[in-house]
Amino acid sequence: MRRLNGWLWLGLLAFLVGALISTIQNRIALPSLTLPEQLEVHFIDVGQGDSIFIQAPDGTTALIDGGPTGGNVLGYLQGQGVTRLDMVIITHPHQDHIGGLVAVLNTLTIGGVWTSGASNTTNTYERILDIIEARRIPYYEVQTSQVIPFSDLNFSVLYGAAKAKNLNNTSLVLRLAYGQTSFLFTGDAEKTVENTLLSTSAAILPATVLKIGHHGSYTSSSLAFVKAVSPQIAIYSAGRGNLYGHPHKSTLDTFAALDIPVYGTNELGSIVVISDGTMLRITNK
Amino acid sequence: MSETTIQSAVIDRYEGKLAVVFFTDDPDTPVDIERQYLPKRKPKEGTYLKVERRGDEIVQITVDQEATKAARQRIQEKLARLRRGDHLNNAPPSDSSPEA
Repeated sequence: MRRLNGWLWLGLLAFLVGALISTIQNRIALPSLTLPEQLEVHFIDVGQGDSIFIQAPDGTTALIDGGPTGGNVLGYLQGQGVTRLDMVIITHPHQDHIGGLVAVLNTLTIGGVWTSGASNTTNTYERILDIIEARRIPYYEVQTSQVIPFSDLNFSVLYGAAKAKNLNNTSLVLRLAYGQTSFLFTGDAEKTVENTLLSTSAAILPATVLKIGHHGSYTSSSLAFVKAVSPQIAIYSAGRGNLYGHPHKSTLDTFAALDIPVYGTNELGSIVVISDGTMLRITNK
Repeated sequence: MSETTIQSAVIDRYEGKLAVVFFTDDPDTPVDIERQYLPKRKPKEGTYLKVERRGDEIVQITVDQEATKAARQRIQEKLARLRRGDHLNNAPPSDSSPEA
């Protein structure tokens, strides 16, 4: 009996050790299964221009604008290990938003290019059309209230126009939601477009993060619009010591009056916002 | 005395009182020109200009209607091809005759 009891104890001990190891393994393994999936939004420091790289939790990639020639957006993307962009979105065809796309479209694998259909006559714009044609990249035009498919999140097109007096006001305005967080990308849309959005889309304007329109120029960011978006943070992209005075003081005053923190690439370099669907983490590079 | 030259340039955009232009022989370098040097009737974005310079000094800027029209037409034709998806279908360019 004693010996049997001894074996029983030994068996019980082996069972307990096994269970303990299994529990430890589960404890080690479980966190990797429950790690929050993250959406990354990179406001790239391209100097005086705009370029935003987005990676969805499933790895789908998008680039909104490519900054100016010499802004080295390609170098930034390659530094992130990006070899393919599932989508390139051109908010509007000004050189400070498309110059860097010449190198990007020529080098990386591109799933498609989306625009509002607005055009320009510059050499840079024409080269982009030539590359799209030569590399057989699918080309799409979208308008207000359409959707650009992106992973299972999608960009809602709140505004987009093929024509306007000023190309800034053809800008695609896009909203991307992930869980309880959301981003509003405004290109260079000016107050005229903001007023349109206030009258047509006020209910869907609120966003956690606002990309400030037109590099923080006085032409954009009306008090009523910023109030309607009511972001937790706002980010602009502008070059250090740029000749246009971006961001303008009146714009910064608007955000200050509403106690909204503002971050700029001219001061912080590239700004990366990471969302787990609930919380935001902000870093710079 | 400096030689007078005439160069071609295109207006990409306006930033406040500055026009941001790109010269045809250096299409990647933005040049900011004060609006006072431009024709009185403000040229639209995408307009081609003839810029007459003596050394670094701008003497006169005039609108180049022909170059503007040619660029607009050329680009609209390219856009039309992309919109139709000709480049994806491997179809011959729309402006070429089908082979006999």
